[in-house]
Amino acid sequence: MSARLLCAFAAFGFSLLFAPLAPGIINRVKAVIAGRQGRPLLLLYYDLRRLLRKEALYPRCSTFFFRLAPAAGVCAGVTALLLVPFGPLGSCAGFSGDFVLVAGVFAVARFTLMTAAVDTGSAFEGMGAAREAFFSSLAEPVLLFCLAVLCFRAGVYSLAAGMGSIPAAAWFNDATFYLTTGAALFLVLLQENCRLPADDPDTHLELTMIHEVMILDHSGPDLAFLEYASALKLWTFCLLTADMFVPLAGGPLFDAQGALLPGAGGRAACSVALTFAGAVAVAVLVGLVESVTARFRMERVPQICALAGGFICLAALAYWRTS
Amino acid sequence: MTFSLPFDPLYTALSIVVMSDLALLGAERPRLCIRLIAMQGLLMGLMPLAAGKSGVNLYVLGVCAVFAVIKGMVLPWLLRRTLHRLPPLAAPAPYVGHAACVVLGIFGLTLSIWLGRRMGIAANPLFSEVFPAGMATMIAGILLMVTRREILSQMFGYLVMENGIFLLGSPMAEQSSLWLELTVLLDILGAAFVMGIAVHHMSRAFDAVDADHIASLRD
Amino acid sequence: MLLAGAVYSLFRVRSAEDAAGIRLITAPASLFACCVACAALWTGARESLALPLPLPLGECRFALDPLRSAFLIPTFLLAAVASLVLPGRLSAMDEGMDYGRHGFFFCLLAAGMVLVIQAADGPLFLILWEIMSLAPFFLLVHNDRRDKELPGTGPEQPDGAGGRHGVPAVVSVVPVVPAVPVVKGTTALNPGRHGDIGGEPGSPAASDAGFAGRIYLIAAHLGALFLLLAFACWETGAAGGPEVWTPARTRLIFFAALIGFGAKCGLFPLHVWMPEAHTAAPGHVAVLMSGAMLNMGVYGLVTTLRLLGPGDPLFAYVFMGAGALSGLFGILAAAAQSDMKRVLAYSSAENMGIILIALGACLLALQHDAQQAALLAAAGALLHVWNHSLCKSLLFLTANAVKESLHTTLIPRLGGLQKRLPFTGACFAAGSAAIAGLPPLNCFLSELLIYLGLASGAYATRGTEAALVFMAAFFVLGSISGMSLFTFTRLYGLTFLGLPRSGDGAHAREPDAALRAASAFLALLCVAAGLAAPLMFRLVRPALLFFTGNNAPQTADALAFIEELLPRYTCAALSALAVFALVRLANVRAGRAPRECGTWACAYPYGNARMQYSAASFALGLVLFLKPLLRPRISVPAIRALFPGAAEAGFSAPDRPTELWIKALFLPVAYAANKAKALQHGLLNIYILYILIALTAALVWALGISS
Repeated sequence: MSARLLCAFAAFGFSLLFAPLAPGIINRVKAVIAGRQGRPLLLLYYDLRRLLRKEALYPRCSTFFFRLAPAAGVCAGVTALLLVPFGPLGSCAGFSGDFVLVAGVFAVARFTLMTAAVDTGSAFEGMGAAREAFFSSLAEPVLLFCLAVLCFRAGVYSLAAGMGSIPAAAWFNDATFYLTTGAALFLVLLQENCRLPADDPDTHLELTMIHEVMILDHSGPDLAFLEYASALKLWTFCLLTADMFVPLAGGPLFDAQGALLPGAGGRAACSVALTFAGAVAVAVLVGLVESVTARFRMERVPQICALAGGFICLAALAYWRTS
Repeated sequence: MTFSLPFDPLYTALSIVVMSDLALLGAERPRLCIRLIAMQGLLMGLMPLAAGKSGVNLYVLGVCAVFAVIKGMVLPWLLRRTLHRLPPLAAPAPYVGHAACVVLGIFGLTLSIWLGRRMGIAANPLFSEVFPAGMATMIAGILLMVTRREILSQMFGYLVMENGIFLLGSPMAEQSSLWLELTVLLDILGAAFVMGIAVHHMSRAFDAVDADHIASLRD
Repeated sequence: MLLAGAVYSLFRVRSAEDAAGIRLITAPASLFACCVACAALWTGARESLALPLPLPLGECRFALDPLRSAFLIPTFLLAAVASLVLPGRLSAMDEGMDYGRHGFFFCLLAAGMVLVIQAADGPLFLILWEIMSLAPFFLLVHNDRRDKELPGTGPEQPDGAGGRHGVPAVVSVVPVVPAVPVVKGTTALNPGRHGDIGGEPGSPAASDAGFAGRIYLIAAHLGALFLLLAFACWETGAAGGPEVWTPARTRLIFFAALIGFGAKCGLFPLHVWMPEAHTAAPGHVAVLMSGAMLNMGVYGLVTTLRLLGPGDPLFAYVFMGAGALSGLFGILAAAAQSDMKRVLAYSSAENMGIILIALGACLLALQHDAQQAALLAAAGALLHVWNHSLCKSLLFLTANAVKESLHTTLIPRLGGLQKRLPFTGACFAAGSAAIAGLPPLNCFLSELLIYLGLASGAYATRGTEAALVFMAAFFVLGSISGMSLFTFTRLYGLTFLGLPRSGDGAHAREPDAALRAASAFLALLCVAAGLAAPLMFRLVRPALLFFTGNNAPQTADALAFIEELLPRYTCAALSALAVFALVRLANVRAGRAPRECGTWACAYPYGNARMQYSAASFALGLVLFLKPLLRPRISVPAIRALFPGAAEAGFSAPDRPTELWIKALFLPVAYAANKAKALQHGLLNIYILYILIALTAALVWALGISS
């Protein structure tokens, strides 16, 4: 196993471990801005432990699909993290075309979650499923197009090559392109992870919820898995956005065989730290956005996707104009 | 001393102009529109500086300042004054929705970039640089004028279109043409005054600023 | 090749006999033929055969090449599947029908498709095309005896179907075409027939077979008319030499073929027959029609492209435009339907659109010499043809099982079927997930290749207009697949999950063993075809090279690129499955002894089946958002009294193209025909007078004017 792959797997393990930190960071930022002390940073870890010790309850009318959703969600997050590069370390299992698979595994997670929600036979959960189906059907093309534009701009078709190590010179030469793409990606992050202004993760009003209302009937370990899955998804998106905004100064770090180039060790450590800091910064940014915006009215939520679509179209046009 | 920015100032400014066009097409609140127009106006004022290759002298600087003040401050101030005088009613829904307007604006941008490429290299290379943004701004302005129902928004469209024309003219920024631009600008200033007064009177007459009411005056 | 002929004769021999007999012979035979076609494709075999026949036909030439083999495979496969389930379906239908005739036309349809693919000259192709097109009509209307006596569908048809006598069915096109619109104009305007009443369970939205048969016949014949035009142009052009062969003629052929074949594969504005016909058709016929017959349209388009060559850039743009239109509107309409089979039918229009986008991308890439993009897009298109056949036939089979069991396919009346029909439900779920393009199932693979082809094309042609088109196509394809996930989540979730919306569904029972075996077989194929990506690509490779041409170094590079990517995709998919298994295991272990309880739903204890989110409410958000495109009819009752009574709100998504065609084409024809009735007195002497006038006029024209 080459040095690069080893590092990539280490980063993958690191991501799995630290993903539940992201919601904690967001909440802490919101609390600080509102002048409160806020919940503990590690609250999600405690919650997961507590939930895992409980027993699972299943609605009487539910079927296999209801039980499938938690595992499918976690599996989607794990698979996506295997494909999404951790900065210049690259990904563990990337291949040409992996950006489609990343969108695909999240689609699978959504499909199972929506069917699980409908499976309960409850009006509330059906409502949540309908909204999720509608909004995510708008977000999916934008996400795919964001990733694709980033990839084929560099003439490559894998995320690791297209996003993981964007050279700093290229980044600054075409800041308009990268900023608009980043804006689109960030908006998709808000939409897909059910953050404000698309959805309020802290709300307690069933009529306005999207994601939280779909998991009303999951309990115990199932709920823990679902919470962990959404943390993984959030972390994946933070990582993607951070990859996009943290360009790589200097030349490549690894040679074709994946061995570390002589003298690149310091830079590698530095860029890994930068990527991690970038992902945390994205989480902080989400917290800031949540502090200053109110939730959109339900019929306005598609406008977030429309805005993201507008940004990515601008980016594509900028690319087309300069190419 | 040479100082180089990590990005191209002209290109960045043009990108911001284009984005503000789209934001104008999508914006629903007149207050936001006025802010965007003010920002565009300030950028327009800087444009001869960014585009001018002939070097910066006191004269160009002065004219730029005048542009920036009129486009970025006086006109927005006038607009805001008109807005304040209007009754605080919800704007009537536009003929074409805001989201659809943005989509049309993106199409306009695509079209203008395409036309710019088709045109090839113009005699003045700056013109090719500026053309897509200028054209897109013009299209956005026309779209605003055509699709909005209320007079104030139509006026925004008029100003945006004028900005587009100004952008297209900015590469030819020499002393004489700057004078010409200045006179045009003063005309517009006058027009904005008249428009403001007209809107004021109209809102008193009809209790609304819906352009459809003007249609009722035709016979 | 010879074997195909043998199979054909087998079909014919057995056709008159008992239905169960058909299965015994046709199913293994076509399965065997399918394997042969696979082998032929694998080796890239090319053969041809000429049968000298007596004069009216002349020499019949048949050929086999990799492209034809690629289209033969799903045809044979689905013929096998359809004949496997045939007896069960027949016994489920009404008693009085003529099994022998049904079997005959069924086999005729299958054989016609096989031979259409293999026909190598124009007239033969058209004759077989007609046979293939007419057979479904009889399969559709067989159980609706009333309709057989209707004018316009009566006298001509037995002749046309009598392809058995070797009479060229083309002849029958001419008399039928003017006659049917009249029928259509007067009967088709049945309001609410092709509407979709959401949220209202009592509405009779199931279309009757007669209407479906008529609208199918009209569409098929109008399509054939355009094909006739295309072939006539082709033949005269080929005979006339280069001075006749102008670009304008090429374009005329192209557009005529696009309309003709497009009507067959259900491209958006021409899809009008599809929702009706697929809804009315019994399971085995729907399998053949949706899974195999639509492919014939694609095959025709591909062949036209091969004949005309990819020279004209217009072709690529038209293909991509038509594909985008069909894909977007198809999936939009599908998302708003409330009948399972109609959802599936509209989704066919969507998938044909995807295939067309991919073909157009391939053409565009070829013009810009981007071999990698061309190969990727063509591979995606061909695999999507196969994958769509698999998924769609699986879905139609299982939907048919629902229909037989519960006598309705209206989503507002269904729900909670997964508990009662676990096997059918599982198969339907697999089909839905596959056709929605979820990894690791088969349609995801083809969509992955198409996405990559578009991205690669956008890179290879960067800086030109083509790049813009590629990027736009990418975005459109993304939107289509996003909405297809919406559509199929809604379809599966509302039909099979939750609580039953009407009745308790106690009488629901699983279908017979043959249908279950067929569904399981297709579902397994869906999974396997998705996972065995390198194998699938190796299988279509000869057909790809045959289509795109071999441009030595570049093609080799592109092939190497794809052949490196696919195993890694399979690895990623398999490891994702392994991760899933592990996580699921952990989940089960953590769950200890799970208990069942009532649905909590925020502590609302009075929820019942009628309060669930309905088909209409699920789609409402999307429908309202895209109202300008979909133009639904929304009905909201006005509340007037203080204590309003029961009321129903809902929306219907009428098929606007159908209404448009009726308004633009058929009503004027019907009007003219009504007026023309004045000429028909029934008096012999007046008819003789007409003949005299006609003869004199012809004579005057021939001698006096034209010379």
